[in-house]
Amino acid sequence: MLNALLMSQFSALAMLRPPTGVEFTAIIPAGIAAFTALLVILLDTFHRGDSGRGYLANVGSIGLGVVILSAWMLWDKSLDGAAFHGMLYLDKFTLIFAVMVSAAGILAMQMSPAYLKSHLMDRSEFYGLLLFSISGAIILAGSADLLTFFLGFEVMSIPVYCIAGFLRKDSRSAEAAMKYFFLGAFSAALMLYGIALIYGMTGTTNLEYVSQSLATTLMDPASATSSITIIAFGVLLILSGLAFKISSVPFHLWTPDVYTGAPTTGTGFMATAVKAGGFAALLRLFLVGFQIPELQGGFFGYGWVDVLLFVAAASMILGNLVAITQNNVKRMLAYSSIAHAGYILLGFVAASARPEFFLFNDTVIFYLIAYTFMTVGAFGVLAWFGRRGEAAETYDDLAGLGLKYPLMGLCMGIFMFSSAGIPPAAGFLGKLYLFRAAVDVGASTGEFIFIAMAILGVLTSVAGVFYYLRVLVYMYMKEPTREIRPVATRGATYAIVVCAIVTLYLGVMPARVISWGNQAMVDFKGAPAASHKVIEEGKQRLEQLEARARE
Amino acid sequence: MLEAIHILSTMTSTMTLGAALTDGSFPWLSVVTFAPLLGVLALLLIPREQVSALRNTALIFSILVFGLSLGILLNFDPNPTEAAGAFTFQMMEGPVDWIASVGISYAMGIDGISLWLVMMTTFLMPITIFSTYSAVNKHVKEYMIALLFIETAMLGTFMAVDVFLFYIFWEMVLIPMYLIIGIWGGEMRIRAAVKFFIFTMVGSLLMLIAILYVYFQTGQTGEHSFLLADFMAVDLSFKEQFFLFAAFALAFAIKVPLFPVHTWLPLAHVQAPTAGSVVLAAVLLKMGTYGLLRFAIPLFPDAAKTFAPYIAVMSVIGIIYAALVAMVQDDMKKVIAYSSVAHLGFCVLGLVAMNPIGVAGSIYVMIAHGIATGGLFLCVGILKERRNTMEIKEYGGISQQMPIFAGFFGLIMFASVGLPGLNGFVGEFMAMLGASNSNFLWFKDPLVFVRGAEGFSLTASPVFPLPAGEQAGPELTALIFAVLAASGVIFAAGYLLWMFRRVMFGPLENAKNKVLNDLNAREIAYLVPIALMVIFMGVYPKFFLSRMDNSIDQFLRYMDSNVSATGSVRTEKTDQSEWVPEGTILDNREDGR
Repeated sequence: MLNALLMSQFSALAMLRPPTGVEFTAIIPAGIAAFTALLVILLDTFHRGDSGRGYLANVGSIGLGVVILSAWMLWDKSLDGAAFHGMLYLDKFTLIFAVMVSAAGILAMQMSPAYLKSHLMDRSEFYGLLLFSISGAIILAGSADLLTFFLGFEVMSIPVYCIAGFLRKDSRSAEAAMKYFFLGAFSAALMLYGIALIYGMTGTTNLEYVSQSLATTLMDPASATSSITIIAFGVLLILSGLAFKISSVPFHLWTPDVYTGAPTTGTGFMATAVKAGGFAALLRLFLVGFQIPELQGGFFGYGWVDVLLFVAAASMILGNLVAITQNNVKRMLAYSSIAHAGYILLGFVAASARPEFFLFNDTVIFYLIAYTFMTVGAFGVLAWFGRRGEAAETYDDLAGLGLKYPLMGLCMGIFMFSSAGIPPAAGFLGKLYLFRAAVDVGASTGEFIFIAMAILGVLTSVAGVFYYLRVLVYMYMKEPTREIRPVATRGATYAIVVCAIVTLYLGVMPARVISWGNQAMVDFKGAPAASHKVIEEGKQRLEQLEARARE
Repeated sequence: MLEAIHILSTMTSTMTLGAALTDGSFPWLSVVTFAPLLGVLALLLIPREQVSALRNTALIFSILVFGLSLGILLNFDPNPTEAAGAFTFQMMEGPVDWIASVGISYAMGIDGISLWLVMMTTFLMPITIFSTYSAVNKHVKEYMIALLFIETAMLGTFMAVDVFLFYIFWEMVLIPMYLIIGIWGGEMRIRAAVKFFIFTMVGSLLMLIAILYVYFQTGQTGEHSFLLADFMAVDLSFKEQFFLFAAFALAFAIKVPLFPVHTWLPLAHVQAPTAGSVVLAAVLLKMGTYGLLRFAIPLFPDAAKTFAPYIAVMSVIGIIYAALVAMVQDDMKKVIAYSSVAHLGFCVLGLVAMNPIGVAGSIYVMIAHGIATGGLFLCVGILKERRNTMEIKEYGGISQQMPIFAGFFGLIMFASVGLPGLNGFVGEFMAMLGASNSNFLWFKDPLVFVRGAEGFSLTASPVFPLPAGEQAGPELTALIFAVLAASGVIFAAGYLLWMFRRVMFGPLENAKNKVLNDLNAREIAYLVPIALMVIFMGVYPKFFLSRMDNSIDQFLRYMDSNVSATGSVRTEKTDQSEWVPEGTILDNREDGR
């Protein structure tokens, strides 16, 4: 059986044909980002004199705008199978993540010029690195093969290591880069080892073939007992590499230091785009490759679902509790991003517990979109409130600024209320949507653990309210302690305001974005056969809703 | 020719609008709810230095909202054709798909229960805003924005017919109130604001989980919905009802606040600025009682029956305990804050009495307490503006210096005490009368957790197993509640009158008090409507009661048919003469002698 499967693959390989023209659309979004990065580097060589390099941020933003435009144009043109002989998917799922990371990139870039200048690091590499990282994240979201997955993973990660150490004169930034790089390289190596084990057991790196081959192996009791240990170990290693990227609990230790040391706007980028990329990879890998009942486990059947349940619960608890004791806002946001990773994982775990809940993965997408805008915005406000050479970092630095700079104060208020999950901001709806999925899964499978996790999520988010409100307490209810001269261009202000408007928009009129998430999951290529029925139902339901909306 | 066509078209358009205003096609509720947000937009356009323009704009918009809300009152039909279920909503708007894929819709409606709460909110907001003209001088723009924003959120809470929409508005109220206390409050404002926020948040998040649980039971075909009507249609077992009611009631009890969870209130009241206290006491607390009446009790009727006597115990403890605590306070605002806890105790007691007089009295207490306590906070605020202190012992003999103020303060204070002829009396008397002949407040077979063969389970079992003949029946229990509550009225007279005497009468000794000015025209202008309303509600309650009667009647009949212990809900409709004492004078006159 296994041999026959392998033979079929090899025969497919034997008939190597050049890729058809339409397959090249699969690399368009990532290609544009990479091309813009090269363009930015090229333009910089012509830069003369001491004038600022802020225009490069605009060039980069335009490039990313073209990525978003291409996503819009390709929205209905997703490819049926994986392009380039099973390497890269192009579907709505890829595109929505491309839009998400590009938006995070545009916002972070627009917030950066004045910040970098005030830290005497006004260099073009920052924008180039961001763009490379974005192209990696887009490849990651579309990966159909363990090799493209690893390629995207590294292209996304390595530029971010450099960004973490971008303020090279600042010892904390150097520390952040070292820490991030060593731990990141180590986790990538672990993951590569996991990939090698999976390849060794299946003889292929293509995710769909991996899935078929694993299913065949595990179906037969004889081969299952002999190979389950190695397979499970491989899956666990890949899981830990991804858990590192999304900064969830046992692999979170780098997060606070790196988030604090990295340049603030860069932190905003790595807290959102890199996390989004990590989640995209998590969804792709585990939904396409490892959605096999024997591997999944479930309610303490000891599969990856149980592992992720533990990771989610631990992230929610630790992230929220430790964030309370922080005095540095950037560290607080770092721990809160660990907590957010926990919430998102809860949605993913609930959705992947059984094939029939496949469509609930759209909660992950919606939460990530909401999280992207409120987090980039919050870091942007911190950068905005900086002073020459130093960013606003502690709560005291923020004292009294809310009423002195009402627009920024209002925006920060919206971001904090949204992160705390208070209506009418986006964060509330995202959380509600996640918990709704968890409660629904718990109610329809009768597995109480999911309802308990939702209750745990709610209780920990009460702890979250406390530290998010503390930011507002300092900004609005204390007297200013220091003079600041905001380091901000007009672009930075606009970017922050856009974040605030989108955060409110997603909270008040989320229907459209939710429907994008639905479409992305309905269009998910490489979904396991067991989920096809739900996907068909989801398609029909979407059409019904569209028809209702048109009336 | 062209002009003629133009005039014609404008005439027809105004005529159609005029017709639309009364035929139900004009979205009165949404317009009233979101009109304050227009005011917020207008305020955003005014530069922050032009303080008086900011204040006037906010005032004009709040008066406009009150004017618009009169449209609701005029279009309200006191005797509507009854719809199925517990409530008949009028002027329904929606349901319109809001987030269709999750089943969330935008739906607003109003009935006799929410009508007067809406009217009270729009009536008090201009007064509140007018009172801040001299009280708040820093960050005026933000203050006015917060006040108008909270008005939208409060109105939305009272009008939402979709449970999710209700929850959104309910939480939205927290944000401006948190800022109002935290930015413009007194010395311990940060602690008060955070405590207020966290207390309310804990309750509401548990309610959110409960809402989600019920939501998944709606629409068995897979199309879930958050509409109140669909929530009502859900069939829940007693055990489910028990926990869901507990989650809902906790959220509402914190807001009311009922006895053990009231600790955030005095702190918040004392630290809040005057306008914040008025809004908090008059409207925010009513959101709790309104939530009990609209959601917790009709959604889970059997659990409500089980919990009712315990809620009554908590409210009676609240009445007496708060009155005793109020007596020993040195701070005027604290006295009024604790008096709020006591008054809301009457409100909840009347509500769980589950008979027409009790529920009508409860709603009447909500409105009357809003007007009277709002007025008291305004009066205290006037003193605070002049002397910047709330300590009772700093004052004394103020009536010599400020006679007009003494008149207003005295009138509103008597209304709060419950003097017959003023508004406080009507509601409290009805609530007590309702409680005294309630069949609902009976501890028959309280539920306890019993350890059985299959672990712990909920079982009905008497705590004090007495022979059937010696068990106190419902009549006696209810009477005990009413008698205890009545003693609270006496205490109320005690602490409020005593505070009034110490502040207003006696020798004028403190030199700082000898230079106080009496009320100026602005202060008189905003106290007059309150004084008039206090008297009007006291002498002509029928105007208010007649518009809520049908809704209460329907609500009680719904409860009667859904509570499994039959006979516990009393549904005889009142004709408002029932609580007028029957005496020889009236009888003689009717005989025509």
